[in-house]
Amino acid sequence: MTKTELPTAANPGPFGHQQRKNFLFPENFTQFNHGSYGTFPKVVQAEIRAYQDLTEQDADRWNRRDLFPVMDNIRTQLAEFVNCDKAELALVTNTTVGINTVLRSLPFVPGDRILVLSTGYISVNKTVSYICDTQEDVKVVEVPVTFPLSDKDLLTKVEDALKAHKELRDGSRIKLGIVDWISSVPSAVHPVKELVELLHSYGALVYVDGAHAIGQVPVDLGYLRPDFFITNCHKWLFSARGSALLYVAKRHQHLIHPTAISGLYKSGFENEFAYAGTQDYSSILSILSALQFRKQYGEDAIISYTHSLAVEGGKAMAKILGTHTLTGDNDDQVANMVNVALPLKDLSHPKANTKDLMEILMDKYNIFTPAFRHGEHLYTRVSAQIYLELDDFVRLGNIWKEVIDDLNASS
Amino acid sequence: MSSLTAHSQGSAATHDTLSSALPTPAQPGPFGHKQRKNFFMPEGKTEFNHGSYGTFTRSVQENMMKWHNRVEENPDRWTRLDLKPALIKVRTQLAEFMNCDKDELALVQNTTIGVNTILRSLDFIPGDRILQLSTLYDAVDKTTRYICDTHKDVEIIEVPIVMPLTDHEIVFQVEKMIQDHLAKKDGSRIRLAMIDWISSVPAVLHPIKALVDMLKSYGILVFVDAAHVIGQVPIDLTYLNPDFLITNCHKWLYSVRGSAVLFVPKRFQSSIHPTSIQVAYKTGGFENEFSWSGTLDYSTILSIEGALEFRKQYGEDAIIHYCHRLAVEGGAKMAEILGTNVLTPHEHQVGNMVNVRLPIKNINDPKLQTPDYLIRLLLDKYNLFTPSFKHGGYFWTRVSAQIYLELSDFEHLGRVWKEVIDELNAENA
Repeated sequence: MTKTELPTAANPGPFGHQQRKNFLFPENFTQFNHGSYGTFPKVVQAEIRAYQDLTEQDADRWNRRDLFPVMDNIRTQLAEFVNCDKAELALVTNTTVGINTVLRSLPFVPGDRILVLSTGYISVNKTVSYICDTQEDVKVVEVPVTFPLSDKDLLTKVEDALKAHKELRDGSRIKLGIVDWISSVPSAVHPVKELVELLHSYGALVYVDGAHAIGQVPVDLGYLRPDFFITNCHKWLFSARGSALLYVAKRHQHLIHPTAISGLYKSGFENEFAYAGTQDYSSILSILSALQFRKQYGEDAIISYTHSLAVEGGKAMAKILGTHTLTGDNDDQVANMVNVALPLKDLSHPKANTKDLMEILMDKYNIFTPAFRHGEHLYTRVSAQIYLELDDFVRLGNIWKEVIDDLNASS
Repeated sequence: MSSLTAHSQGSAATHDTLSSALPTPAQPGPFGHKQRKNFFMPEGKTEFNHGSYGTFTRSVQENMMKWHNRVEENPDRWTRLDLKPALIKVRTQLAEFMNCDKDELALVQNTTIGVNTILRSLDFIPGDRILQLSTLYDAVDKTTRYICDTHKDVEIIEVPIVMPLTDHEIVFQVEKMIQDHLAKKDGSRIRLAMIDWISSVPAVLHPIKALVDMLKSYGILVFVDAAHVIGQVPIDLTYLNPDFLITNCHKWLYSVRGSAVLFVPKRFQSSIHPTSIQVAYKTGGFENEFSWSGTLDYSTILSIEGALEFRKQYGEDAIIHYCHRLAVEGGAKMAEILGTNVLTPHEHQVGNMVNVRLPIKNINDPKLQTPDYLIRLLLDKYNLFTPSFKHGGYFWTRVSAQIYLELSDFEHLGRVWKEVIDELNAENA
């Protein structure tokens, strides 16, 4: 398919409202926040049910024998999808498990420093905090990041932090850098290839938090070459919740053990991660039908449409609200999620917080997009998806206008 | 429940009239094959190994799907507002079931996670020793070894346990090991004991109260691995008073796989953190740290509600009594057919699982050194499975009684195993 044939916000092709029937949404509910918890099509749900029924017919046959080739097949397909060796992949429950798996396995020593960005996901930064609390003289180096910020400026900030640390000459070393591929709140696509190379050039290991990556942007680990990488399939790939992919480069595998040690401890990376104890694996198995669903349209088509919709939708909302998007003209920093500034006059308004705004949106309008403070503004993050169209963003813009107008009037 | 003719057991003077009205293999009442339709069993397939992976009823699956679908109606409202109260409700129900405070319970996915949660949170220091029995579950043993690998001078003290042993002998052997250790006076200390309430392979119901009390009298922390307990034997945490306890609801309680409950008394909570650190670390407290494990499918945990509802129809006493009697009588019947015996000398050492000796002539038969041969043979030729294992110089198989089984099933199983073993023995002749 040439680029001109790919679906866009103006020419949705197979996408838009006609996709709603493939999903599980109730009539009057529009999902604008796919980015938080994802959702999956009906065919994926049907597959989950089928796997559960299959398992119950013969639990021993399944758990001792038949489960493993299916899990193996998933890793094979995903290895092709992300361009890496299947032996470097493990299927885990979610990104936080993936982060904890690596961080709680790495043999930190006194003087180790862990570099994070201030826009890193909160559970990730809390995990780093836990590592610092439980290991002697391991500290965090946090790079403050405030958008709008160009890729170039972001890289400069990180390099400045690396240089400043080097100049300390206090015997400490930056052992590991954790960087988002696409941050959560605010949502911005980072220059992840350059970040990996930059951190490597300073001798640091790199863990790429790609929680939002797979299914939202093309993922090529052969090109990116991180030390560790985690991505949630249940976010943008349409699998069921509780299905994520962990990549651990072969050279590090001997160090890495699951957060729950299994009976196959010390029998090799693939074996250690092959079975996580008794649980319902149907979420992980749903990755297969998710990939199948997407194959109907092709990754290029899906990504083209959702990206175009996020960009155009963000512009439309900003126009209605009389504001701007966080990433401005940098459309490359937007994948499927766009952050739109909210024209709240008084940022210290008691309801200017995620929780209160959530209640207003849910109770009065039956929609939700997370609102958050970043820099000098209040923003809301909107997720484009194949089941949305441009007029949904227009409607959302009008809703937010009403909400903010009300708040402005009441201050 | 149909009315049952009261049996008195002659010399068993302690049987009261209530227990004699409970279902038995001779008088299954609401149990036996008529229960099959409540589960997912295909025609021609009998589940003899409930103990490994559990199973759940159709009604429990409906309950799980109800929760599952509710999320899709509005994932944000569900996850941000409704999930935590739903989990609190389950904890409240379980707290009543297990006689403890709901705030001392955390819902996790399985025992291995529960064990890792505690062991990887405790701050072991050089000289600490972890006491465990040789019959400890494999993954738990690997976890204690991981702790030793990742901490300086932390070692395992293993108490060899070879059945048959009486309750008294088990407690004695553990206590002797402790006393021997104390006599060494080498500066080390037994910090923690990992003790099975009902071990897996072999399946033995341990004298847990006596063990907990004895261990605590030596100042040792006690972590009870009760993976198999809830739904198999009554559980009273106030009475037992362990330091930590983990139990799988998806084994004997009939909830969906991926639902377990961890008991952590308040005095330890500030130092126990999940295996996956989350947003609530250091700011939310124990309850909040364990209320959110990141994005996953919580409907398996919430299916505990459906499981408890299903069981309430019959009552815990009825279910436990039937399964226990069936395990005892079924085990005896199988041993009779095989010309062997069961592992445990006393009936009270059996919950719902019984270990029957296999009359294998050559214990070193290469076919038996890995589980694959028997797994394949049993599943493919006979369409059933019970795990087999070496213990004390013999081979045994472990059979799980359940409400969907009857005595005739055990007879059938005995004949299948006799055929399997006769063939193996013939090949070795």
